[in-house]
Amino acid sequence: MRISTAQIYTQGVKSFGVQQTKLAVLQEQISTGVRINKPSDDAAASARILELEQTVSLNEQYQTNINLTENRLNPQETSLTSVENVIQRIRELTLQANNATQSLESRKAIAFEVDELQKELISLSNTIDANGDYLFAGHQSKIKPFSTNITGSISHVEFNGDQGQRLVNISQSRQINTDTSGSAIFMQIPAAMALNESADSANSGTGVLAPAHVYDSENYVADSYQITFDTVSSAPETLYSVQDSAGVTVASGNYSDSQDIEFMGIRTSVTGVPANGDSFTVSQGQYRDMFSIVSGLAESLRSSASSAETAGTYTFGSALTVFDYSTDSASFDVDGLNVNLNSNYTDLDGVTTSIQAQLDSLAVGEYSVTNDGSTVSIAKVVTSASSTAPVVNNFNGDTDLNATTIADFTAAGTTVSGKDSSSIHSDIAQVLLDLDTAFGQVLEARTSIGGRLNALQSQFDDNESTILVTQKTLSVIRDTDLAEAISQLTLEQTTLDAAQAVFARITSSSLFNFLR
Amino acid sequence: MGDLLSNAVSGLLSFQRAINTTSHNVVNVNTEGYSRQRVELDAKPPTMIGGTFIGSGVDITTIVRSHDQFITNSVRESTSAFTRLEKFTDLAGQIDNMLADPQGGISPILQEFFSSVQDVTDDPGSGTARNQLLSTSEALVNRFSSFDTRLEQLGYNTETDIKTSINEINQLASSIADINLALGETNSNGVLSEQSSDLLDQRDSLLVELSTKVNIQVVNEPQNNITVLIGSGQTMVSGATAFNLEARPDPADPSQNIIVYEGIVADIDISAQLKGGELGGLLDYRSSVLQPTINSLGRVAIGLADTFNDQHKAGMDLNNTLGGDFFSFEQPRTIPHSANTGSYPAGITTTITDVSQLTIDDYNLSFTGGNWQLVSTAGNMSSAANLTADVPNVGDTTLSFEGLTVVIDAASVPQNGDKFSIKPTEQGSRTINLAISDPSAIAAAAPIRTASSLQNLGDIDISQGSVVDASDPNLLQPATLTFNNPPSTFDVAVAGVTVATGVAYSNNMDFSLNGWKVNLTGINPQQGDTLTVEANLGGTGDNRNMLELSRLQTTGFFDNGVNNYQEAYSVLVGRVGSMVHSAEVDKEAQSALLSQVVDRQSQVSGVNLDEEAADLIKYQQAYEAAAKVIATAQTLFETLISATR
Repeated sequence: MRISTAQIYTQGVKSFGVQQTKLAVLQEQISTGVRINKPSDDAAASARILELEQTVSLNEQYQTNINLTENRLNPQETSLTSVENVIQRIRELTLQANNATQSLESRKAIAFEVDELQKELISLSNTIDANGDYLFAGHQSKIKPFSTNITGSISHVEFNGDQGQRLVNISQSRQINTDTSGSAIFMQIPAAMALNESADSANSGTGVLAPAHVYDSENYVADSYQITFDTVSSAPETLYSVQDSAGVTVASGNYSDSQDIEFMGIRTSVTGVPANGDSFTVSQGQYRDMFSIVSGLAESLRSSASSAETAGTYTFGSALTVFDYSTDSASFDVDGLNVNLNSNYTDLDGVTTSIQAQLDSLAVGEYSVTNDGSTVSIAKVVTSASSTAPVVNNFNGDTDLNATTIADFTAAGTTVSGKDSSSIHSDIAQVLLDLDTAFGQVLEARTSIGGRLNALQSQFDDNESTILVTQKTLSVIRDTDLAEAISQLTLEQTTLDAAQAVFARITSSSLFNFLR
Repeated sequence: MGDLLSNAVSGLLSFQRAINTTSHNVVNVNTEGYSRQRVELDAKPPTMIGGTFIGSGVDITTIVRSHDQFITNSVRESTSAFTRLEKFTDLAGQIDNMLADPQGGISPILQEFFSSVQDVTDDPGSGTARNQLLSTSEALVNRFSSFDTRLEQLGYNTETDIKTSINEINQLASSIADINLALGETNSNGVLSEQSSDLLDQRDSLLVELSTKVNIQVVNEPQNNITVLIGSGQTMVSGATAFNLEARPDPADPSQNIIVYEGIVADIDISAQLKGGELGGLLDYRSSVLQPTINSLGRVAIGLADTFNDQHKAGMDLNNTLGGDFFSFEQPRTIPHSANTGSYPAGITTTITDVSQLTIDDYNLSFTGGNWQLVSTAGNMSSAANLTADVPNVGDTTLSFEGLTVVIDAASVPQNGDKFSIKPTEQGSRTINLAISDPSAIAAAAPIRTASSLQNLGDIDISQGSVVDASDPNLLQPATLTFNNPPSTFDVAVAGVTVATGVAYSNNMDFSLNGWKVNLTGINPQQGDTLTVEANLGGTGDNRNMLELSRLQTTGFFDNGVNNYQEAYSVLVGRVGSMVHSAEVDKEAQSALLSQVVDRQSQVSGVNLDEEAADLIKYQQAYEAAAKVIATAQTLFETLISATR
């Protein structure tokens, strides 16, 4: 067998090429740390690597989402905690107001603080997060969700947002709600005495019904009431009448703009000019909103009286300066109850005591008779929604009293409307129940947020471990085993060195070297 | 004359020539394709003198070219096979590298894009997140586009390479023809000269070089002629005549070249028959790697754009309008064959209707026998067999197949033999573009929102709602569902007008209207309970549509809903990678085979310097000996002459 000289060289050079290529590949693997530098190095692994990289990237995105969600839920929780505190404070004040020693003035003071707390509640419900979004507005996050609307004599908070929820991906298969519904927490508090108002669509006048609320829970009867206006029967006066669902008229009267309309423990009012036949409906609802509970409380406090309050005072006294306690006598009617003054008195106090005793024997606890040294006052104790001054007439008696006409004995008393002590207690009891329900609602929402934050934390940990596992798999598939590569490199280098030495050896021998 | 002097002289002459031949071998030791020449010495025919045969010296009978035809043929075949693989792996390796580039590949930018989508999902009102989404979208379409540019460049280079190869083939063919002519002239003298041997070597070299370009068959003709055949038997060289190949634009697709054989009778397209060599490698690469890669990438781009658009249009943007197209892309081209004779005033349009059925094939549409037929040019990856739909041409003729719909306008007048080629996904990667420039036009919100009235007495609840048909004209009309007495049914009013009454209610039921769908739950609805569905105006914090868009990343669309965008791209990467890998393995094997055959050839034909050195000594000594014989003859003569003085 023979071999050509050219072939000797070619073979040697070729083997160098092969070795050097191997060395170059190993060098790339070692210096990049990656075993697969082109898809052709390992096609199936390349495809797998791309997919694993996507998994890692997705999970990292989920982690970002979780962080953002926590940033969104935390301010919600903080706000709701503040709301709970406010409700607690209102509850304390309510209990305070329930104490029998409270007077109208002190209750008014409490009502003042309740008003401020209401403003705080409204402000909390309109909390904005760091991005300028309202927390409790639903999808319309740039629009203030809770706005105050003043209609007639009552201010009312309206909800302008929606019930939208913003979901976010926290894992491949799991989404979490990052919203807490403002309408559910603040507007939908289940209450036994929730009221709905609506206007008949056929109304043609400009009358607007104010929000109705229950101001007298003792006398409240849950039903659907219709308020109808009549401008014809006694023009130019406008009459209103209120019918219950059975058609029975429960209240009626003359209508005047913004004047209260009260019936069956419900108070509302109408502003504007209703046309003939216009009607409005007030019916039982399922929910009350938190703000109306609080404003209802404030209103109750402001308008309540205590058992010591009197109203409707009839004062007479100027004629008594010439009334001889011991000699003169007189009789008169107070609201139709007959009172006799005989000549047995020594001083004004005696007169006062006698009148009081007589009135008490005829109508217990309804009148309060006092004197200030020169005048005697007969006052009607406030027992119902409206008390007027007692009407004193039918005077018979000593003309020395210098009262020649009934007119001297009649005086315009002040009409005070308000509640008596027992109804304030039942109202407060109702408010306490409502506040507890509201508190429970907020607590439930806060618990849900807490639960979600916990879930987020555990999902975060899950995702972290998924990322780690995936990266480990990636590393196994993709990365160079440095120890193996380096030892391979040494081997190939040795081979190359040997090949080069052999080549030098072989090519140096030629017969021509030995020819003279 | 058989005497001392003439014998010696014959020896001198012969050995001189032998040394010449040896020196010729020695100086050609490094000549590519040189076959060593051996001198064959033979004794001259003896003369008869006095009843005995006396030898008359030595003569060179022939100079033999050490050469094995069979091995030479093997070398040519192996060379063809090897160069084909070499060219193929070289070109395909470029695409391999492109796909592997971690910064340049599609995968990382796709992931960044969906990360931005998620960021908008997290905070849909944020201008920053929206702007970021627009810029990553821009980067995504640019990446597709730059990929396509590089692939297009590869395509141009391929076509240029093809033209260059063909020119070289033509030149080689004419050189071979020239040598055939020269050999013929030499041979007419009937003498096989050294010059002829070298010409043969030269011709063999040219043939090997030709075989590096394309697979050839060599047929030996008498008088040292050869005929060279290519393709399926077309004659490139016959005797002293060479024929030509030409690269011409494909009448079905002028952007590509076909290879035409300029025969005596007619020009034939032999592109499909050319195998082996660089040309074979180029054609293989073009049809099995380059084109499928372009189509595959285009399919990913189109699939992404189409499905993303569909979902985007089901949403509402910050301007309170329904979302428009997010991406834009061109519908497939329908290229008429240049030889078509029919008239198509309104043209033929092809649209993509179903991404899940889209393949990476191109299609040929032809009109024969009065019917339209469709055939796919299946690549290596295709699962579709030949599709023939014999569809008669009636009105607006429509063919639907594999996710595409072709409409041949009613005004068209086709003629038998008309052909069109349809390339659905080829332009996808180049033409994908962003159709939105205003961040507030990103439709992150859902178009509708629902509410259950705060005054409801029952426990009825309505789900957030989803869009079923974004194109419904009444989608944004407000709808109210009111429960009747008894509350086992409800009425539906749209914009105040009752459209349905007495719809039966059951817990956990779906209700659809005007393109949206909601789910109603609740055990105990009450009379008068009201649920509303209305347009989601001002819903800046709503991310529902963005959520759906983000889910697209992991939804399977392609191949009947199996593969998502990343997977479709991975399929491409894996395919190219495995093709290159197996081609490289083949190349290694072929390279080993080639060197084996070349070894054997050089074993027979190669020059070994030591051998030649030995020959040199041998002939030199023989020459010296023969010269000495002449001297002896001279001495003998002088002895004779001096004897007679």
